[in-house]
Amino acid sequence: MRAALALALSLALTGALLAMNLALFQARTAPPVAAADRKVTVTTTRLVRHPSPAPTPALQTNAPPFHWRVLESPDYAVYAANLRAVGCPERTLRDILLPDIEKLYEEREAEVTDSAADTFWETADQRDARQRQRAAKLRALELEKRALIQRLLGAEWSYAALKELRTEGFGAALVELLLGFADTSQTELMFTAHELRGADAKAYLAATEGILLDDDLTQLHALRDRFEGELARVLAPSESEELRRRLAALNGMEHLARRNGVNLTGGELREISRLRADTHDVFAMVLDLDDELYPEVLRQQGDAAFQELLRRFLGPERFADAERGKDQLFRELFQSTEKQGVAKTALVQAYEARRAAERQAQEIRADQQLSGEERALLLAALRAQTAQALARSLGPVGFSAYVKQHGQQLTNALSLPVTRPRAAAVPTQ
Amino acid sequence: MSLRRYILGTVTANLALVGALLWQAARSPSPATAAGLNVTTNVVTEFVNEPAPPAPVVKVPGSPPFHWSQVEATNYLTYATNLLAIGCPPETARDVLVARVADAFLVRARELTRPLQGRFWEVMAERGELKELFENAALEELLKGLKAERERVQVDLQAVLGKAVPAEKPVRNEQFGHLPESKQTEVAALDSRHGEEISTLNREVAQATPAERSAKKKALRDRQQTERRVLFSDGEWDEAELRRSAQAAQVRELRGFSATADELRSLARTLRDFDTTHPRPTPRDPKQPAADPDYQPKVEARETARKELLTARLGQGGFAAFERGGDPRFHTLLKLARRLELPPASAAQWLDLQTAAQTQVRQLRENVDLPAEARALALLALRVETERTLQAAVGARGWSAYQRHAGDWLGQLAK
Repeated sequence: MRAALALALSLALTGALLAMNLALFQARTAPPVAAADRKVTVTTTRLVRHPSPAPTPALQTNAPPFHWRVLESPDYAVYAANLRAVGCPERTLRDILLPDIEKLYEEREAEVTDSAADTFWETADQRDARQRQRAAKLRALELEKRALIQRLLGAEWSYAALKELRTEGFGAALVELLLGFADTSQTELMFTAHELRGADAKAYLAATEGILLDDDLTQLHALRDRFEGELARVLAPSESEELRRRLAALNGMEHLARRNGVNLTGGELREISRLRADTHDVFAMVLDLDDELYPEVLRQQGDAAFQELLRRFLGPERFADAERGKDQLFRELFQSTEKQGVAKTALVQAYEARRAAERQAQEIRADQQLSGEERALLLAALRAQTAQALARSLGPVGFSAYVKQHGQQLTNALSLPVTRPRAAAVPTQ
Repeated sequence: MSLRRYILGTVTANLALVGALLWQAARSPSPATAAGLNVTTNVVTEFVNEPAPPAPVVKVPGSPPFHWSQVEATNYLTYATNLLAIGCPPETARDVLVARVADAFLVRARELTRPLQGRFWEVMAERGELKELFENAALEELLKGLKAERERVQVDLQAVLGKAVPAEKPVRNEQFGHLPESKQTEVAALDSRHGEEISTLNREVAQATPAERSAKKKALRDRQQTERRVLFSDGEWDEAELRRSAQAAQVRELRGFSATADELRSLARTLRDFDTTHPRPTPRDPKQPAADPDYQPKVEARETARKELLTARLGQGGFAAFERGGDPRFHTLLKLARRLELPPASAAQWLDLQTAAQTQVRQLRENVDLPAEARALALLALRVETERTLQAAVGARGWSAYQRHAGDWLGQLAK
């Protein structure tokens, strides 16, 4: 009886386990539609984009050819960006934009300057006032142009400066030689600074009608300092110093050369140039502002200080040579007899005789007590005396060489001025 | 016995079923059967026109995209041709090439002068002037050669790019401003042709005798004058002649003198008429005018007549303004007054002070009865007093400017 009960229970358990296994199996393998308590719907939007037409594929044979008009734009900023985008080098970009901008502003300037109005019957005041007004408009245009160039090219550039630098000719070659210690791009920047600041100075002087009050002097000094600062930014300190000395050498030092009888080495001349630069404002000179910035008294003091420094540097003998070298008469004597081996003392003697004769001739010509014939006679005697004195000092070979080159000048200098008889007047109606 | 076997069998089966149940429970559940949550994904497809990507600065057609290196070339003509081929305007191509050529030749010129560069100071010490550094036959020859080469390149480029045409500026001669524009152009063209004729004649008569030369030149002038006259009506010609006169130039240079265009024209005409009817007297011997006793009185009489005429016409004040308006000293003073924002009357006042002081100085110097010491003292006192008065009149702001621009005469007062 107990065994039958145990069997019944075991069978019941078997049944229950079977049912559980079956249910679990169905749950694991059943499709997901199994009953859910919450329904959530997620809506997603898929954008199917239709892109703008892409550039023509590489291999298409009907691709439109590139045309310049794609780059051009009435807006210079776009034009510049377009050129940069196609890899146009900055220098070429500058060479394209600057002349273009220049032409544009020339046209605009012409609008200001070209007027068909008849302005003949104006007083000087009215004319000046009109010109001042026009100058102010032109100046405003100039500043506008500079700002545009600065914006487009990232720096100040002057088309006029570059054009001048690129002009073939003797002047350009001289400048090239003067600034040859710097590289080309430095030269361009220096030229630009010079052109722009020079124009600023001119514009300032024009606006003030050349009448400078004390405030104006401060402004002009600031302009000069700006110029020097701009050059200093372009050049290394040693190059700036070299420039200062070279500029000084160009002004009032031409006589200091061996060919004028002043025995100097290159190093000495460079040092003398420093003395000159220390006693004169070379940057003001380059901007043509020295007369405005420094009163005559100060300029004379500068000259005197330089002379004193030069005297100390050269010593008395060479300083005397330098003083003689300023005189064209001495240069003529020195240069014409240089190859004849004339001794320096003889040359100095000849020079003094020549100079004395020149003074005497002036006195004779100015003497109102003398008649024409008397003057002519005295001058003839003076010519003969001078020729003898020169021949004695220079020796026959030296004198002959001098006369060959400067004989006519000697005769003219010691004669009465030639007066041309007037051509017979032709009767006119 | 058989019951026991059944019981054992069912227990074994039950154990197996428990094992199966555990195995099923350990298995990962089916992914889609999150109990209690049914997620539905609703996919909506929208067709949109995608906006163009941010506009590239350059949309370069052609493929591969255009790059400047495709046109750039070391050969100038190739470069120029390439630029033209992509539609670059000739003037732009010219700008690029002219700069390129100039830069290249500049570099070469620099190379040629490099030996001088190293000896800059030495050569300057030898020659003295920068320009004389070029007094070197070999260098000169090289530079000439370089210049010739550059010119050849420029000619070649011109053949490809054409010649730059300078913008034509309208030719304006204010003397003919009263003529219609078309007539002004005609006059300008005629003047240009006449200028060429004069140059040609000058070449032709270079070897002729002075008399022949003068006669031919006069004949040409007369013919040209006739040709020119034809272009003008009588009124236009009269006006042109007045504008050409010295009297027109005189009234146009007046400063501090107010007048309308008509008044100025009329004044110029009056002055011209006066000068025609009252020619300047000439002394018997032009070199010694003082030797002619009649000369000075004639000059004074003419001046008096002129003053009377102008005073009658302009009034006392107007005549004074006319006289002052032609004085260069007054021009500078007027500018100074303008800079100091003072009226022109201030400039007139400063000029009066100057004139009065200079008159006193002249009188002191001409006074032969005055001992030298007393004269020097009087001149010094005059200078001090004049400076004080002027300084007060000009004001502190303008005084140093006055001294700089208009004060030279003060330094001469006490000398």
